[in-house]
Amino acid sequence: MPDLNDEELAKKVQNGDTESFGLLMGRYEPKLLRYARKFIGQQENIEDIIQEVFIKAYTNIKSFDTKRKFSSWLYRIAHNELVNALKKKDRNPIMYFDLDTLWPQPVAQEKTDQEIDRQEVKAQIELCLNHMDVKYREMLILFYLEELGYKEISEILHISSSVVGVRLKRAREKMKKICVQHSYDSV
Amino acid sequence: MIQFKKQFKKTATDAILEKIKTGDVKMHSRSRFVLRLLLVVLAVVILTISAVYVLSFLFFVLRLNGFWFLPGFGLKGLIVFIRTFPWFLLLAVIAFVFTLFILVKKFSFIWRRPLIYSVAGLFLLVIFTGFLVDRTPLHQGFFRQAQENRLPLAGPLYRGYGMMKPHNSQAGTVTAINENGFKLISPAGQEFNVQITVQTHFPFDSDIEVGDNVFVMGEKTGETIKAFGVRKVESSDQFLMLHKLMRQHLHREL
Repeated sequence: MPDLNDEELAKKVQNGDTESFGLLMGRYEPKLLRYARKFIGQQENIEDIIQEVFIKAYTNIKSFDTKRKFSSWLYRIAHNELVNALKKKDRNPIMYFDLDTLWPQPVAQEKTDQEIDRQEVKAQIELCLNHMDVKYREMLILFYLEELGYKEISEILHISSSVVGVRLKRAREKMKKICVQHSYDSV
Repeated sequence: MIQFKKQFKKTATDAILEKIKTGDVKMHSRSRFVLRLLLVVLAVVILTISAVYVLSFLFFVLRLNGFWFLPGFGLKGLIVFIRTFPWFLLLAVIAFVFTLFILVKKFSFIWRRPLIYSVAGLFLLVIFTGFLVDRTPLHQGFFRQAQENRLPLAGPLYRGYGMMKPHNSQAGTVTAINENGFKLISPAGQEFNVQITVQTHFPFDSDIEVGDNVFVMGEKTGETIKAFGVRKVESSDQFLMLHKLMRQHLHREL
């Protein structure tokens, strides 16, 4: 059973196997907790939010298409829950709309981005992340900390892969500025 | 601490599994998602039809009342066009398309592409289909029924917008040419003296002859119109056909 991939397990859950859902939770709980902590900061109810993510995943599992990636689908639910939690926490409107999503963008260069040493960037992100806008912060978390690809991020955030590339580039530039402002070493 | 975390983790996962087993957390059936998708598709269809219908009605209203002729009459014509344009209908179309976009942007074939393509695509689809619907006898038929009080729900809409001719405009047939201009008879049978000055715009520079159907804009004083724009209406023009329709209706009433 542990040899089965996420999508195979999800199919078993759809057919009524709750134990398989336990396995999926075991695989994703640490990842989602880490994602949530980095994205919305330390909050007392972070475990409750992640529990809610799993409950929503279970109740809606039959809407999941097993030909697609389970991780992207689950992260999408988590993204929505975390954005809602942020809205409640800040009470300020979160500017998630991006003009980049409106216009055609040059084709994303994922390979080039991957060539940059993720480990090196990770260290900088840890220091500067909290000072960044939500949409750029999340982009850096998903790409550098969760180590997801452009396609997966595109499916989580419902934006095109080229916009992922552009937003990631902007996120790095902004992080560079913020790191300099806060006297950290730039990327 | 590690012990506590492990314990918590086990409890959190177990708690959800327990809730599932006891039935506190239930899986939604596939039919629920299919139904939801069908409802979204239905809403998309209804919104598209509404947007196309209202836009084709807007085209019809503009044609019926001669709005298209106004920009050709210079700045004055343009000002009247802007002031009397049925903005509410246009805003309704924009609202329908915007709501439509909100619904369809959840689909991957929309968000995978630049949004401008989807927005432009939706608007072009609605404009093109609205234009095609306007070319059919649909609105003309409804307008006729509204004039004969045979259209219960949309009747007031057709009568209201059908009669919203631009301020200081007059359509009719030329009955005589004189040195100051010409005489005009309206579809209602009212006669007017149209005065032509050097400032009068003739968008297509055509000669006016007796029997021509024209659309005139100008200051009305009693039965005299000091024209700042005169446009000959071609016999194939839908505007003329609609005015013939109005005239027939008025004659029937008389």
